[in-house]
Amino acid sequence: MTKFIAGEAVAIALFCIGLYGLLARRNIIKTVISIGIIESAVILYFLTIGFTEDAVPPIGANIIVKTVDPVPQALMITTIVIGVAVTAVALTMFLSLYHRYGTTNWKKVIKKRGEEE
Amino acid sequence: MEGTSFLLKRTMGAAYTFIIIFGIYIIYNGHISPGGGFQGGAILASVFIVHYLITEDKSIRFAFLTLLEKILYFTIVCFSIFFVLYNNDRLSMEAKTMYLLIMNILIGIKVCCGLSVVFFRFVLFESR
Amino acid sequence: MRKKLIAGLMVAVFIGILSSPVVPIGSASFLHDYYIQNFTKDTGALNSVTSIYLNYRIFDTLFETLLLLISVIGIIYFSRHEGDY
Repeated sequence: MTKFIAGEAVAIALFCIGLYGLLARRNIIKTVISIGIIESAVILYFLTIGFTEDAVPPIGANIIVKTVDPVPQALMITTIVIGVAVTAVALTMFLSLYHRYGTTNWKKVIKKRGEEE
Repeated sequence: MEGTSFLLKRTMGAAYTFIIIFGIYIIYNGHISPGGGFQGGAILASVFIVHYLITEDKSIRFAFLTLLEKILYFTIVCFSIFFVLYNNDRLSMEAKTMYLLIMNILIGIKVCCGLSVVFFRFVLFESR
Repeated sequence: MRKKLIAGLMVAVFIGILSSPVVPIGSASFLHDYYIQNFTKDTGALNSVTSIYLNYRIFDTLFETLLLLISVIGIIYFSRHEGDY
């Protein structure tokens, strides 16, 4: 049972949940939340790649024992900052869109935009 | 901010200095322990949020913060190109450690400016 | 109906990925061994994540900070409604 609750399985499940939120929901806020869920799934998957049991953190001089892989950790710092930037810009764009059209639904925004032109 | 309770104001005012000390510690030990510029900068940016919560001060100079961020980014680019891409093999060990420390401090201040600009833009301009 | 269809598709994708065979990555251990053995000598750091982040892959850090700067400028631009500052 513990073999299936590994990091990879949880990451793939989170990715599928986020993709469902992107495909099936028409709320803009829920779309932004789904993008956040997908980002956390990617972060979890990459951190689990470099992890093995009985490994220590890669800190210290003259390491002899087995350590985890430091490259995915260094890449995931980049991903976290990119996630913050994407979420902030998306929410700002949503707010100015809400000030103009007054709705949070993708379909209604498209319909109102079609009426204006 | 009006509406903040007395309890929150006093506790946050007491926790103010410890947040600053913790952020400086994270930045300063970024090359010998877990931590670094981005993490410490995010902790230092939370100081601005606490400052907004416990006072009514709304005089944030956005132009100064944005200009400081641009100048710091230019400094980071010049510094890293000069040290790593041209002189990495000729430096001594102390100079390399000093380079890591200075880069962590610059990135920390830059991220602190950026995140506080994002927060105050959302709070002061978007919440009407 | 459409939501249930998409949910069923997602469950099928999840089960399909989990039941597919796993191919271990063998060639990535060279980079790991090189970084673990040489990072103190090359960069002077004791934390290998910082050494990768600020010395081996410095272009990552540069363009990441550029992305944060550009997103801040974009937020300042997008949050001006009807000409106020």
